[in-house]
Amino acid sequence: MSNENAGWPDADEVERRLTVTEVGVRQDVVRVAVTGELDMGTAAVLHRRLCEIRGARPAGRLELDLSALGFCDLTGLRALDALGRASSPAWCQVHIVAAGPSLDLLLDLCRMPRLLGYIPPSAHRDGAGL
Amino acid sequence: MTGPPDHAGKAATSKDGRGNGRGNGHRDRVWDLVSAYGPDITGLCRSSAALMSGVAGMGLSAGPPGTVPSVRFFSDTASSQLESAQVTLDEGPCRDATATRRPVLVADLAVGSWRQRWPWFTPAALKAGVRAVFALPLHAGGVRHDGAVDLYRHTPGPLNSADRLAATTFTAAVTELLTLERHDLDLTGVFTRGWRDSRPENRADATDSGASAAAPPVAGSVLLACWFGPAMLGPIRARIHALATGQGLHSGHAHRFVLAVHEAAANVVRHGGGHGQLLLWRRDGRLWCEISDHGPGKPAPDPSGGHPADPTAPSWSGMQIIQRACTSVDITTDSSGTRLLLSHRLDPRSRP
Repeated sequence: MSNENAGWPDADEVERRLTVTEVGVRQDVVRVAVTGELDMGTAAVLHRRLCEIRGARPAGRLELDLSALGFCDLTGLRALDALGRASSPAWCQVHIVAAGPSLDLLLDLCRMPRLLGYIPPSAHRDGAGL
Repeated sequence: MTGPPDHAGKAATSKDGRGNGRGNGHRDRVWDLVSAYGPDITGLCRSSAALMSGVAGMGLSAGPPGTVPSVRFFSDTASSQLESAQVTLDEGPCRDATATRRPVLVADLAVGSWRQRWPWFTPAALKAGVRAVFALPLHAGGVRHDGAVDLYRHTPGPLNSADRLAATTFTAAVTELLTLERHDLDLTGVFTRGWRDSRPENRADATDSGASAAAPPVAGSVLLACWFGPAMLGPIRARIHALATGQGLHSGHAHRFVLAVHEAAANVVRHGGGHGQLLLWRRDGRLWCEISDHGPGKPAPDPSGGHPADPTAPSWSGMQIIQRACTSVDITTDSSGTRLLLSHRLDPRSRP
């Protein structure tokens, strides 16, 4: 539309909506907390930040804590899934170790029993992925 | 938007730089007109002369498909006579545009075979000083109405590209307002307070029609209306969630409904021209949300009826999520746009 706010969000706002933080390193395991909203506007932020973290620690396991992810849409789901499908060995050891209701709901609606090693509660109930 | 829109064909490029000719700029402009003038079709039509250069008169005849269109607006005496005669005598550019579903563009009524084609209309138009007439069928946002916007000019000559774009944009906006009438909703206050110029949560009056989320709505009144682009997706989610829970949708169902609305709006941003319209209302024990765009339409469904099993496949759209998250989903789509009507059943114990 002809007003400014109806265009694409500015870069600062996008950065504010999704935070990707390295919260701990134990031996060869890096724990990363992702908070905020993972959607078509912020998926690129996730990829960029994880590349930065991976660049600093190319080897070892990368654990994603998504328990404080307030919203995730289909684009966000695809961005997460793409991490596990990357051809580079550095990305083979990316795992989701915790998720919140938003991702659980999306996985349930998508009938996905598992994502990067994470099994949502509904899949546990249904016996899928076990 | 703080004042009347500029010339309808002017906004070929939006501020985000993505507009191009009859592409996104045209679509954005349609929503500008809808949000600025709606739901009052007459008000929009009254502005036709200001919105389209060189137009001496304008008429609108419209009706649901399969009915005889009725005259909804005329700008002057000559337009009134010509509109009424077309309906009464069943001849003229409006009737042809309705029948052929294509624009009828007559650069000069005084030449060629127009007298033979329309034995009554052409002499009457020439007598009224009309030399050129352009009838644009009412087809936009995935919906077609019988009838047309008729533009009358005193000077002969074709519509140039800018004038044609302005006329197309104007007609799409008129069509959109006609389509909204079908819902039989009280839209007046909603358009006045509609979110078209700022983030919803930043506006003190943004919640008036629903944003005191717990306020009981008037029957048929709209809880939320907004015209959105990419930057509005987050604020829309927050607002839909507040309104849905305020209307009695419990948390889990509210999240499902919000996700469905978001995926529908995201599809508009990705595939529907970038900008769209969202209306939310309560009726018959359900929350209803219509998300519409003027994009190129959705592709035909897989004739096999199946969907790819992998949600991460590019061909897997958000539609499956929407269908699984809602009580009902109705899709109307063609080359002029798409409308998704979603509903979610409310807890019977929630207040009306």
